Amino acid sequence: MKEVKSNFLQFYFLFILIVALASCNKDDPKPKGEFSTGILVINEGSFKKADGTIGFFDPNSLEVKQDIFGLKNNGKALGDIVQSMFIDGDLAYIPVNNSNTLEVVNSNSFVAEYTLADVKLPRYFTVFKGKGYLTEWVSLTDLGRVSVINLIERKVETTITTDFGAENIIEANGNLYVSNNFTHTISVINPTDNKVSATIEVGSSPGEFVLDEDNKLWVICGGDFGFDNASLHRIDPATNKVEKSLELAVNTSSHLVVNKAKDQLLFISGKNVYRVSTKNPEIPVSAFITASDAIQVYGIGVDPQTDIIYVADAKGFQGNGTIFRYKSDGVAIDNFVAGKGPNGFIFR
Amino acid sequence: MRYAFIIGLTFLSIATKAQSDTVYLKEVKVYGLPLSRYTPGGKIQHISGRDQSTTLTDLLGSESPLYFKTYGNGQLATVAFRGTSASHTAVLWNGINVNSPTLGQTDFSLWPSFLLEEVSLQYGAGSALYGTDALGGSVLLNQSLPQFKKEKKILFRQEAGSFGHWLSGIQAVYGNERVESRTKLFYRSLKNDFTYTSPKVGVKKTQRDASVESYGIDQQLHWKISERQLLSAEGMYTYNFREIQQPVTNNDPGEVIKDRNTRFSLSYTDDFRRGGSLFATAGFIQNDQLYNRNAATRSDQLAALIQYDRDIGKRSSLRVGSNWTKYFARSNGFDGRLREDRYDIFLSVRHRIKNWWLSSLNLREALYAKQFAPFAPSWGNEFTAMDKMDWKVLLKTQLARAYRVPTLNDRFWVPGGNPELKSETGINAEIGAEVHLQKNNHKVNFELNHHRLWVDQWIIWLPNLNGLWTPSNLSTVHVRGIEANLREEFTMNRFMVRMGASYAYTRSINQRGLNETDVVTIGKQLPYAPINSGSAFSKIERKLWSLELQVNYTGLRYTTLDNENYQALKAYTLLGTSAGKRFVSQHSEMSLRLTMNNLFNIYYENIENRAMPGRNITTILTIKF
Repeated sequence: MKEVKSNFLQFYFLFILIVALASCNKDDPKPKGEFSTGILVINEGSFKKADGTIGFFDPNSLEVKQDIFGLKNNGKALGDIVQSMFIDGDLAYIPVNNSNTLEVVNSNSFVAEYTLADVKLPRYFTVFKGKGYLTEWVSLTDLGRVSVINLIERKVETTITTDFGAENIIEANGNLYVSNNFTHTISVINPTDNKVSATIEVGSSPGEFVLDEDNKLWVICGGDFGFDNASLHRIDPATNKVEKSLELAVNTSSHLVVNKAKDQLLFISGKNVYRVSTKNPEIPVSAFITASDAIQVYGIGVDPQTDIIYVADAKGFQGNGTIFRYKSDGVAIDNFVAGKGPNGFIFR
Repeated sequence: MRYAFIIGLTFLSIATKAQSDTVYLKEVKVYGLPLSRYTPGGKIQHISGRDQSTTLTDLLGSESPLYFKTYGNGQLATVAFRGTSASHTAVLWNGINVNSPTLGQTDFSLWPSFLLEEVSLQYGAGSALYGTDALGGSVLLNQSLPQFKKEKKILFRQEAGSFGHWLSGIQAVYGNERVESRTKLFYRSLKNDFTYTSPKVGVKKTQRDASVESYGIDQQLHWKISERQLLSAEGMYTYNFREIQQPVTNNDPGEVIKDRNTRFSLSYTDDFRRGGSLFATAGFIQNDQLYNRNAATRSDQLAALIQYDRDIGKRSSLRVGSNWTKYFARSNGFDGRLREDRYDIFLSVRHRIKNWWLSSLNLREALYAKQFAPFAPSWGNEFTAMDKMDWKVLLKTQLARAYRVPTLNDRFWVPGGNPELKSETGINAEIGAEVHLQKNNHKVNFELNHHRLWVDQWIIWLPNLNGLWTPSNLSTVHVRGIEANLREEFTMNRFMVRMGASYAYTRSINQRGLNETDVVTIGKQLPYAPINSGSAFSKIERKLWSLELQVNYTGLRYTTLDNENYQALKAYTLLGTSAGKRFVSQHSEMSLRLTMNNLFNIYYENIENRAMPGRNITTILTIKF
């Protein structure tokens, strides 16, 4: 009886699926899951409160869902400081900084897959040639490292020591670039032998990387704590030479994003969003956007499909954050509610 | 350490027993607080259950509607008194404000109950009497009055309980007609290896790396110089080491914290009889904290207080006084060592206007860092609406202004500290009624109170335009609430029954957004301020047996200023019970008590994702001789 019922259910499901597919436009395939298209908001949460979450924003319906991980996993928490997220196919990798875990979930349903627990203050993750690379601070006083993760066996294969505060990681020209946030350096890792092949000197507190339309690598250096000495650097991944450096004369966050055409870099400082052209890089004299309604701009993202700019206001962690949306020309569109301490976005 | 201590205690007990005479340690309830005279209209509660708690957190948490933001069992605990924040409660030890000058608050878990004597609460604004910080209320820790009788008493207490709870303590009193000495000594340790199932984790976990170890000593010496002169000295030292309990999602050990607190006070009372009385105190307070073995914060505080109190005619009395406090503080966040002097002058007048109307006016002006703190007056009235043989009805009103001087961190933290900060101010108005019924062995007390508090210039730390965190006098908060309290006591068939219930409703509402366009946080309840809380207890005694049942309810608490339900801490109810028997012999008394807490084995939190222990048992053995 049970089997009959389940067969019937399968048949029924199939029928619905066929009807659904038939009614769909061929260019608009059925989404793989509830969260496979839309915008994911990374809310890091308050330090030691373990209230970091991932939120979901549907840009068509403008509907917001908070804490989708909790929603799909019986109220479980991601943990303490949800730092970042990287999506590789059907899996999303979420380094949870102060919980010392890498949480792996199904990127479409957000159902938990597994947790990697042998990591120390993880920051960012990327996948290259089927291997996972996770940056880790390790501690505030030890050298940072990159853990190479076998994604099939779900375990750390080897670790590569870089420098203090191993932060962002990106692949360019077949090498992996790691910014060492507590230093002035970038470590270049050759993934064939998992060794640091070069070290590049940049400004103080290097943060996130982006690749521009010419596949040049840009890195933002936030500057020393309490000093207005942030800088922006362009590196040629073919030579590992710093081709261009801009002294920004402000203190910025470590976030750096690029627009849809990959010819405009955007970064944040205070309540301002600054813009720098990759073709004609100049020190910005004024803010591109001032999020005047915000209290503390803490994250930024650009939708690569629509070019819409998403600016995250963490509101001093007094309450939940707000996301302000702007058109590519800087004109305000609207805003929506985030979770605690929004710091970044994933566009799908 | 533990065993050495027990052996030491045992030896000490034997040694003293040999020469002890046979007077039982009997607590004498005398409230010699020179302050209570000028508080008609105010709501005051004397806390009694000192013997059944380990720290001031447990004690006040079970006996009052105060909410404690506890980061775990035995961990950091700050208070929310009537919906206010942790720095809006004045804590006074022998009349000296002992809130940390750097953080402006008290960690109640660092005050061991075993070393305390008189604990009382004054609800509402009390700055006119106690100075800075007394917006939500005040916690008063005082010595009980010396007895000056010929006695030698020893009390020995041993507790053992779940999750490695262990407490050994000894109290010794020696007295004659002129001198009285009280010594208290304790050692406590807690492993805190309880199991819990947090919905945020989904599987059963065992708490690790959350142990606590502490010990302390308190020595009092009272000298009756003459019939009218009394000199009292007290020294207290406490040591507390703990591993900081981590959020439920984390598996690795966290930081450790070591606190050493040293407190001295010397008081002199001269009662000139008809000429009035003089009271003077000098004190020294030192808070020394080492965070994670590398970040040290130390504050030293010198305090002096003098006041003169006299009756004017039969209906009035007057008190004038002043105090001086000097702070020294050093921390990683300060540019060198900070010093600050504060001076207060105060005046109180009490007048019985009619036989049924008692009124009191208190005024205080303080000076700190070369500027005036807000003027703090308070006016209290007590009306005897009914005074019959067996019942009495009192009506009370209070109107008061309170203030909080910004902390040293608020003003001088590098970077971000804002020396331009103004003091916070609050206006408190309340009205209450008390009904006392007494017939034969049947006593009923009922208290009902409605209070309001309007706080302005409330300090909030926010990132500024350059992303630098800095405090400003940003917020306005309005609190309104109701407190009800019922107590009943009677004897029936040789059973002595005591029971009670209390309920508090507190709306603590944010009135201003974080900036001009923020409307989401306006009209919202402050985080960690339960709207509803209540408790009930009953205690039955027969001959040498006693049985107690207690239930505590804490309502939902928001964790963010925008009051999202999905982030709120769930309401919880804790049920506890305790049974005890006393064994009395000619020369000594022994009592054995078994206490069970959280009988329903409920998982609950007071700060998000910090586990609190489930069902637990403690046995307490007390020997007095």
